[in-house]
Amino acid sequence: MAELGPLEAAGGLAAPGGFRLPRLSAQRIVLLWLPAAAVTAAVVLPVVYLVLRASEAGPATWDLLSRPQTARILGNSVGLAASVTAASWLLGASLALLTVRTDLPFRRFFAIAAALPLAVPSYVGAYLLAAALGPRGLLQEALEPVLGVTRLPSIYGFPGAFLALTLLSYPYVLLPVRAALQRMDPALEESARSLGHNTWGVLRRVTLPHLVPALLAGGLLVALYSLRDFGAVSLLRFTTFTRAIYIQYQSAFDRSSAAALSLVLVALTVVLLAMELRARHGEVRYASTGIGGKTAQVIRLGHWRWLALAYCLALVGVALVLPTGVLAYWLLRALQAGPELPTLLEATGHSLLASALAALATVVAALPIVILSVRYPSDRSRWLDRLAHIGFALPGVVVALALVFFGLRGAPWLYQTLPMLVLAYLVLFLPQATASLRSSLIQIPRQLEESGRSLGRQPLAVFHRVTLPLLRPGLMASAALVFLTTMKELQATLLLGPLGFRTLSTEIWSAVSEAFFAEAAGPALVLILTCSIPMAYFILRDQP
Amino acid sequence: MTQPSESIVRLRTVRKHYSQTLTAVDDVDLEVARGQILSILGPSGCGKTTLLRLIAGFEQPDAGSIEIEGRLVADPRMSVPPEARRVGMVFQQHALFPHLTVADNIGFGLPRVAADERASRIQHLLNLIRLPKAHDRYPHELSGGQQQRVAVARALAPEPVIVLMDEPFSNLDADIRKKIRDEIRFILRQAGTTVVFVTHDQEEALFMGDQMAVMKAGRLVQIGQPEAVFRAPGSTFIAQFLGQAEFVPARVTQDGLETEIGGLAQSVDRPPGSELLVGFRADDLDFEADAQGKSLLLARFFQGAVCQYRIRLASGRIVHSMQPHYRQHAPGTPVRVWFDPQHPLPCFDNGQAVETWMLGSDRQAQRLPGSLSPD
Repeated sequence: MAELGPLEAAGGLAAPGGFRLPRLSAQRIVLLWLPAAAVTAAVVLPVVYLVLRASEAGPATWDLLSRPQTARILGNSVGLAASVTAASWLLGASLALLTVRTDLPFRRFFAIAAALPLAVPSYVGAYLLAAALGPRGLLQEALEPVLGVTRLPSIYGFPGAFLALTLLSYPYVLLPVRAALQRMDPALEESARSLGHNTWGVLRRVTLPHLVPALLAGGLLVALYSLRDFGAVSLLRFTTFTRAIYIQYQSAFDRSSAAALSLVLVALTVVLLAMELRARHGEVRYASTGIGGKTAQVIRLGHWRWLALAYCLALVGVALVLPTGVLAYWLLRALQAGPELPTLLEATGHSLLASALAALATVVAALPIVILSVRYPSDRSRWLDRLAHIGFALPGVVVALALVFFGLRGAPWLYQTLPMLVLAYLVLFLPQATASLRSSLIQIPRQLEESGRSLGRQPLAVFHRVTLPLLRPGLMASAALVFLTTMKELQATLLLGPLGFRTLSTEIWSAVSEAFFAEAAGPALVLILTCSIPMAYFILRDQP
Repeated sequence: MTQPSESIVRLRTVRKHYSQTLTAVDDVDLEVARGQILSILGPSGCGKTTLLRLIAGFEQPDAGSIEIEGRLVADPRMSVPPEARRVGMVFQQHALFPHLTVADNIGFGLPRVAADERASRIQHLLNLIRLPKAHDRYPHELSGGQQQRVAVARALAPEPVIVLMDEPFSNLDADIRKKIRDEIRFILRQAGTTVVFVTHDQEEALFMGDQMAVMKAGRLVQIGQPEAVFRAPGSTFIAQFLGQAEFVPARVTQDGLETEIGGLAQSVDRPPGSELLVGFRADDLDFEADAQGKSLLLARFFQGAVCQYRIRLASGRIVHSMQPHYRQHAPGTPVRVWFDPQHPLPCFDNGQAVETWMLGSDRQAQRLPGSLSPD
């Protein structure tokens, strides 16, 4: 399309403000617009319902929101998010620099190993942390015969939540910073060197400023992750919004106040998302101008490399080896106790079933929205697309709660059924599916479809013979992504799963909340195995 | 030349806009005769691709009508879908289906043709494009030029009434582009197809078309045989767009035209005393070293067979002259410059062409066929 001028390209940009409504064929309405509108409605309605529900309570809501306890929860949430972000910046940026730019030994290995915690669900990470460092965890057990320690200082509360979330989410900083370092034009640093700056001067005055957008983007992802997280903070008993909402809902059955708290949380995440969008706009300024392929000069660490090695080993030890060891230990204990194989099999079956249904439903739901927004761009299709992204701004616990309300009042026949659970997954993971499908569809040139049409084939035949075969890898990848994310999902599964519908995630949750660490080991292992291998594939595939 | 022949495509006052301010195609009237190759030339953004997409059925006109073989296919109220128009399309990026073999690509538009007939049709087309054994190869295994030929064969397979080509050669490397377009023109001629071909490369437009249309800002500003358009551009815009045209002011006298470069024995459709612009190219200008000359040779650009000289006239105006490579002059030489055209030079009044003919000759005999009569 390089040769197209503004007029010709305007065909793909559509009229701002919609100068003239494009004519719609009946086929396009039935096959694309109706399903897309239905999906969007299904995604948006529960949220609207939540807002209505919260506003219903009226003055009582304001009383609740102005209680000092709410301020404390807000402080906890924001404080946790801020401290986890700061720690992730330190860990992520230092690891990125060490693995991309220095002569650190085994830096390829560390680059991969350090990104792996991304594949571990937060409640599994929290479980392993509690099992290792808890008052009566593994460390205490090891110390008791030697030092007679019967109880360790509690890891529960802020320290545990901070540690768990930092170790799980620093890869969100590591990966973009690594990518930015690898994309950076070596000529920038070389020019600075030739202008008389030494290694540290170049690092401070050229490299780090260049990494600012990546640091911002990654940091905002970490902050969002911390704000939305439910599993780790709940298992480690640190009361942030997500936990407060769940407790409010479970114990008090006070649904309006849970709804009100949800809205505050949503406001927080929306602010962060807006910041993330702005940060992403800033990236243009830092766009690489050089040619790829050249590699930047490696910084020689000298004797410092052994310190750097120790640092990386310690981090990988705490973030990867320790949890794996803990898991293996409790797994052995569980095996000695005689594993509850039927329960495990049942939970695995349920997890696979729910995830497969969610993957199928989400990809099928995403397809018409993506086709409309990519192939028929207009204000209307853009709005459908934006509304479908609502799940991205909403923490899982809020979506789950919204659907609980909706199910109880609006559709009791759906409440606590498998379709309702699948709907919750759909709301949550539709943005993932549309994003990955969109990038696949954009790569299929529109001219292929137009060639098919001008060769005399009907639109449906062209879709079937041209678009679908080319889109197949994209469909598979997007289904796999939703499948994996659903396997790990906890909040919605807890709140919306049919009675007695135990999945791997709920099994881990119920065992760990009672400190039955051995019982959680089996499901955790199955979960990590099913998630981490494909997740590692996704992480590595996106790496340049 | 344009004898009344059967027109395949007829556009009447077709207009298409994308917004109130963005008019891509503006009141275009166009007829394409059977078997003709029409090239549409215009700078990028002039609306030529939109014009093709309107004919193909990917866009619908906001005003006017489009007929194909006498049948109305589009107006602001109705639009026959692309698949029902029998219009073949060849895109800039070839748009071959990457998951299908060459044979399946070519056979894509033949779903309801019996297998053996289909196979023989595909074989015939493969022979035509001189890739007789390429059936089972995939597009990525072909060179750019081969892909282009397959794209043409695929478009020809359903026997369309017209083939539309959107900058089909601009994706090819410069060194093979000429060869490929030569081949494609041969293939299209062999098939006897009617073609509308769009490009921003004036050399390509001149080479490919039986007829050439020049487009500017959504409007067709001139249609005619390529030679005619080249020699008698309808406006200064077209003159510039078709080749490095230079202009010099001229005054109409009883004996022809008077310019600072010298006189021209041309009559013009304007009264004596009128001011005009005369357009010329470097090959219309000759000079010789002359110590009394008022012009100065500034620079010399060696281009192989020819050599171009940059000359500053007494008025300060910069002009160029093309000379055979064996004539050597050193920059800094004073020179005398004169016009040496073998044909009437185009004249323009307010940017628009004015009819002109050699002095003392029959006005009608000088008139170039197909050229737009000036307003």
